[in-house]
Amino acid sequence: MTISWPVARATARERGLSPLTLSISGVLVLLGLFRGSADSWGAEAFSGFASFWFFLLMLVLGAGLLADELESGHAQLVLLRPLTRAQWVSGRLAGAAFVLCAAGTAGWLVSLFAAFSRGAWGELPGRLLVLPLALLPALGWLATLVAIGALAKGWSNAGFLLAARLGWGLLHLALPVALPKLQLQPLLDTISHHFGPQDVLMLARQAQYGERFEPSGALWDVCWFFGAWLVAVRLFNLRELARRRA
Amino acid sequence: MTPALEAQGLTKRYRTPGGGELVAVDALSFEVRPGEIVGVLGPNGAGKTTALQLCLKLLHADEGESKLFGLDPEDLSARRRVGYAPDAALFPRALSGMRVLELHADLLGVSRAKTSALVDQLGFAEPARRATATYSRGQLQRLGLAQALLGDPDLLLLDEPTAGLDPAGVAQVRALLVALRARGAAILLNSHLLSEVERVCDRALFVKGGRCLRVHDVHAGGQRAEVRIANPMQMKARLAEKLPDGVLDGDRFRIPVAAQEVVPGLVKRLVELGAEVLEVKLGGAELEELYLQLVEGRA
Repeated sequence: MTISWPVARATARERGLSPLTLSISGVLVLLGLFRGSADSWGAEAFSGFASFWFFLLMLVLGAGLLADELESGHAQLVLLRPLTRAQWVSGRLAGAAFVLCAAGTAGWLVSLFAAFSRGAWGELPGRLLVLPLALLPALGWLATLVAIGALAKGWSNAGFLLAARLGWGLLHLALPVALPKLQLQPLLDTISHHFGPQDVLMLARQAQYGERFEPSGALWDVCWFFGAWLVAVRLFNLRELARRRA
Repeated sequence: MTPALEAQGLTKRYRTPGGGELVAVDALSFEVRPGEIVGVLGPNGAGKTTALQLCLKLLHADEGESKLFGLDPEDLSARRRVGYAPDAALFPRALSGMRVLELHADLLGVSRAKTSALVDQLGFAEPARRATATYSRGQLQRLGLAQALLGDPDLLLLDEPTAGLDPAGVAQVRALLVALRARGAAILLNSHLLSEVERVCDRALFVKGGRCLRVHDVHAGGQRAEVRIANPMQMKARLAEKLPDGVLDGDRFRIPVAAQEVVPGLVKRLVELGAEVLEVKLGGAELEELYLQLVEGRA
C-alpha cells in the first residue's frame, strides 16, 4: 500500500494552515512553555489539560478528511490522475498525520527547552521517549477517524468517534455501579484495553524510573494504526465502487 | 489509428424514488479520433454529463464499455494522457489556485515551470495566488480548465467549458481548443452554445433522452453565410427566384457557400438584386436548424 506524496503534501498544507489547526497548535506550544518540568518524567506537553488539546487537534485534522474532498468534487478530479484510490486515501492520512506530528513535536520541543531552563536535565531519557509514545495513540485515533470517514458524510466521523469514546467511558463507569452483582468490572477493563489505541505515556515514566517495562500497549497501538489504515482504504474502495455503480 | 476515446453501447439507468427506472444514457456509441473535436449537443437532462462520466468510468455503465486509447479508463497509463474539466468544478477552499495546480502537476510529473507558463497563458496569474474560496464562477472555470490542460493531454473532455466565462475568456478557450487540435489532441466538448460548437467542432452528436439522435459532420457541404437584410419582404420573391439555394428566415437570408472568399461576391449580388444588407456572418445556423429539428422536434 503506497502513499501519494503529492496528495500528502497538499493535505498537509490545506489542514496545517487552517486557522483552527494553527490556533490549537499555538495552545499546545504555550502549554508546553508554561508546563515545562511540571511532571518529573517529562510528559507535560501531552498530559493533563494538554492531552485534551492534543486530542482536539487530532479530531480537527481528521474531521471530514476524505469527505471534504469527495463532497466538493475535487476528489473526482484527483482520482482521474494516475494514482490509485488506496494511494489517495493514504496520502490524505499521511498529510494529516504529518501536521499532527509537527504540532506535537513543536509543543514537546518547547516543553523540553522550558524544562531544561528550569534545571530538569536528569529527566532526559523519559522526555525523549514521551514524543513517540504520545504520537502513537494519536496517530491510531487519526487512522480510525479516516476509516470512519470513508463512509461518513462531512465532519460526522469526528462526531461518531467522540460519541463512541464518551459512550464507552460512561458505560465503563456506570455498568459496574448499576449491576454490581454481575461483577462486570474485570470484563469491562479487558474490553477497555482493546477499545481503540491505548494511552502508553506511562512507558516513559517506567523507562525514567527503571520500573517494569510493559510495551504491549505500544505494540497494540502500532497494530491498531496499520489496521485502521487498511480498513480505511478497503472501506473507501467499497464505497467508491458502490457510488459509481449506483 | 486507435481512437482516443471509444464508447460502445454505453447505458446507465438510475432507480427513481418511486421504484421506477430512469435511463440517463441509452446505448450511446461514438468515437473521438486524434486531431478531432467532437461536440455533444442536447437539452438539459439529455445525459451529456453522465455520458462524459461514463466514458471516464467515473460512473460505471450498466451496459457497454468505453476505452481510452484502446485501454480501460482505469488504466493508469491511459489516465496520464487525459484531461477532464467538469462543469462547475470545486476545489479545496483553503488552497490557492496555484497550490491546486501544483498538486495536479505533481501527480502528472509536470514541472513547476510548465505549470506557471500555463497559468500565464490562460491569463490566470493573479487569481492563482489567491485562495479558491475567493473565486468567482468564471475563475473557478478557468482553474478547472487549467488543471485539465496540465501535462498536454492527448484527450480532453470538457463539460460546458465556457459557462461563466467573459467574452474574452470564451475567445481564449476557442483559440486554445483549435491549437490543441492542431497538435493532434482529441477533444470531446459538451456545450450548450451551438455557435461555439459550429465554430470549433468537426463533428457534433445530438443527444436527447440519453440517446444519440444523429452524428453530424459540421464541415460537410462547406460553410453557410447568414446575411441580415433591411427589406426582406420586398426581396422574398426575388431571392427565391435568383438564389434558390438560400432560405429567408425573417430578416436573415442563409445560403451555403463553398468558402469564405465567395462571400464578398455574394453580398455584391444581393445588393445588385436590391437587398439592403445590414450584417453578414459566416457560419450561419445550420446546427441550430438541425438542433431544432432533431432535439426539439420542430419541422
